[in-house]
Amino acid sequence: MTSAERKEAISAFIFLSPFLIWMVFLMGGPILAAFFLSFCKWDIFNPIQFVGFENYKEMFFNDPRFWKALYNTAYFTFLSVPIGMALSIVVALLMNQKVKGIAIFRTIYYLPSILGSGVAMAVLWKWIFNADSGLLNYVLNVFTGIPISECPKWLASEAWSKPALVIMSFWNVGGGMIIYLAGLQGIPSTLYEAAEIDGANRWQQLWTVTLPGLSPVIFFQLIVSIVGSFQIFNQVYVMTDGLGGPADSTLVMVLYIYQKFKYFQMGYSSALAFVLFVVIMLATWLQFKFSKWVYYEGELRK
Amino acid sequence: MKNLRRVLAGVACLAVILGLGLYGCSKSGGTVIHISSWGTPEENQILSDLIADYNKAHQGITVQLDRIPFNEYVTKLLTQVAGGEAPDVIFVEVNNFAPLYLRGALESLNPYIQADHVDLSGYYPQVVDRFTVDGQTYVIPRDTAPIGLIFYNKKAFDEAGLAYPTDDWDWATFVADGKKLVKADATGKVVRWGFIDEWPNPDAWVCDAGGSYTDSVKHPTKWTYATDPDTLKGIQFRADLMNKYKFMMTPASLTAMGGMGTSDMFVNGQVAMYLSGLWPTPRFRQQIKDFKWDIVMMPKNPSGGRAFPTGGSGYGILKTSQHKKEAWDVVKFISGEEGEKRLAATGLAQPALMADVNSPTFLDGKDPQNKKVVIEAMKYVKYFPICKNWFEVHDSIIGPELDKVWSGTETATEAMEHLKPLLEKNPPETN
Repeated sequence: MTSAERKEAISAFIFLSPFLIWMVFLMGGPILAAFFLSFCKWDIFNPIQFVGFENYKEMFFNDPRFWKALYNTAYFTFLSVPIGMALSIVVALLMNQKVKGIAIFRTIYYLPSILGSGVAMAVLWKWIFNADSGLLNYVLNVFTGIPISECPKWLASEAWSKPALVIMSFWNVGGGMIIYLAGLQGIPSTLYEAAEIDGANRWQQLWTVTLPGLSPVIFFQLIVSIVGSFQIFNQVYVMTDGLGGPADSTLVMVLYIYQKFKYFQMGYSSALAFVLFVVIMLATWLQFKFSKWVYYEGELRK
Repeated sequence: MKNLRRVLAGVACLAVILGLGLYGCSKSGGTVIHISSWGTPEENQILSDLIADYNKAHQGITVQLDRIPFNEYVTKLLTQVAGGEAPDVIFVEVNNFAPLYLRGALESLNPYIQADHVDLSGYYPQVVDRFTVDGQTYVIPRDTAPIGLIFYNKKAFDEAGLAYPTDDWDWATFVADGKKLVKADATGKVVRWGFIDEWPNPDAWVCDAGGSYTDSVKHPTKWTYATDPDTLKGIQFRADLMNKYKFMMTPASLTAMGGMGTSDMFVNGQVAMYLSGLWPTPRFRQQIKDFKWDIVMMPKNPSGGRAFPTGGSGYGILKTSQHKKEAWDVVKFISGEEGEKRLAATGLAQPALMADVNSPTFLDGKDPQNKKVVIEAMKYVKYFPICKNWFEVHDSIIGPELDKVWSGTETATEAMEHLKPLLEKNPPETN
């Protein structure tokens, strides 16, 4: 190890230290405990009873609600992540224009993310989605002429409740926008100049300079968004009173884990949590495996 | 494992120190009795006043009240019991009694009742019986709450040219009235609905139809819900109110509102009949200005029978308490005459002491004029089975299946067919 490398390693560990301390001293114990409990039956009153793979067997072969929760979570992820990312990138490209007063626009787009995706927002969205008197169906009616009685029933409908959650997730497009914006501004202007000299038009520049230059940020966002959306909970909990209805159509994995926890099935809910962990890990591993499309300028230079 | 336990214990201690720092050390010297309760501010005021009186009269004992939100009540209490941090006296509701009792968290009060010659015969026997299993009484009742009252807007009935409902009305009259009470504006948008329940409450109709949940309430061994034809009738009837007779608000119109929203709709005259218990009375007295209103019992089913699911609550002592003698003294005081009288005066609840219900304090002549009907309603009360998995089966197995009946994608018969195997797989847990 050269001294430069050693220096880099040390500073890396210093930067990582808050997380490492948190992980080892605060999260480590509970994570190990949960892993152990996933092979047990425990209602916090009676002694812990070791049952081997019983919880996992039950889950995979005997519990339709588990599959339903997994399906709902995947549905939400596969719809909300790609569309949400595309929207963020488009907004970031627009906000990257050199226009007078652009800072104000950037602030406006970022505002919802500061307001948060918390409980108050979920309550607000509940009203927006109301089938009879909500804002969304009113707008739909005005622009398409579809009578309100024939508009989707959103949160009250088995078919439309998940799309409603997806639409609600776009509320946070501004959060992604900020990161892409930073990425856009990190692309060296020399590349654009070179492309222009080569005769590339704006469209070609977007595909050959901007997007490749942005790809590490896109990759980062993809991983973080998928992890985040597999863990969706707050919004669903608030909007469905913790039930995941109607007819389990918004029962997502974390909500199901919470329900089992609430019913004092600590072993089963731990097992569910570990399955979710493995699913997320697999998803992340796959993304790294197929990450050839990501272009790292730094690496190329070496 | 030892290390793991140590880590867990450390984390738990930290949480206890951070979160409950004020809990244990607010007063030095003397015995501290902790009471846990939930409820609205008005309801808790009665209890805090009683506690203040008690503290004044007793040197060396301090009673402290802890409020826990209702939704987290059982979860938090049981966690506290398991963690050895539980209160001494707890407020117990008739349904969350089951998970507490079945986990052995409650102290039998029989020895205390016998030693002090406490007479429970003044309380509604139904409520005492609910809190008594195998001869042991675990809770001294405070109030009872038959959920079988329909609040109705007299002005809406007048407008529709209908006679006011009477307590002996039946499902047919209810449907005929309900349909006429719906009012739409020029565009066809409904501006007044016929009926809504305070929260989605199929249980009220299941009970009213004569349906059942298990083979036995106290010692259930199997669910009868999906096989009982009367249960099915109740569910289909509630679905028909929305989808066939179309005078009950549908879930689609209701999302965004929750429990509070429905009562506001009654107050605003947007719904003519409202199914609940007695508790909205103080709010309605205060908020309803531009129409007269009253209560009536839920209608009789076609066979002439009726029954109401029932709330209510009382006070018990946790087995883990270190000061049971003192705790019992506190329970005797707060569940006694004085507390019951103050409860009666609020109009919020029906005291469990019958004498306080048949008193001018409770029957105060104010709206609802038909308030005395709650005395008769006690004849028809019904309780949910005592099993550990009641809430899980009710909310997570039955609930999602019934959603399809309310939306009209399934009939009650189809839903029951789907429920049969699910309920068989999850029998009532009683140990």
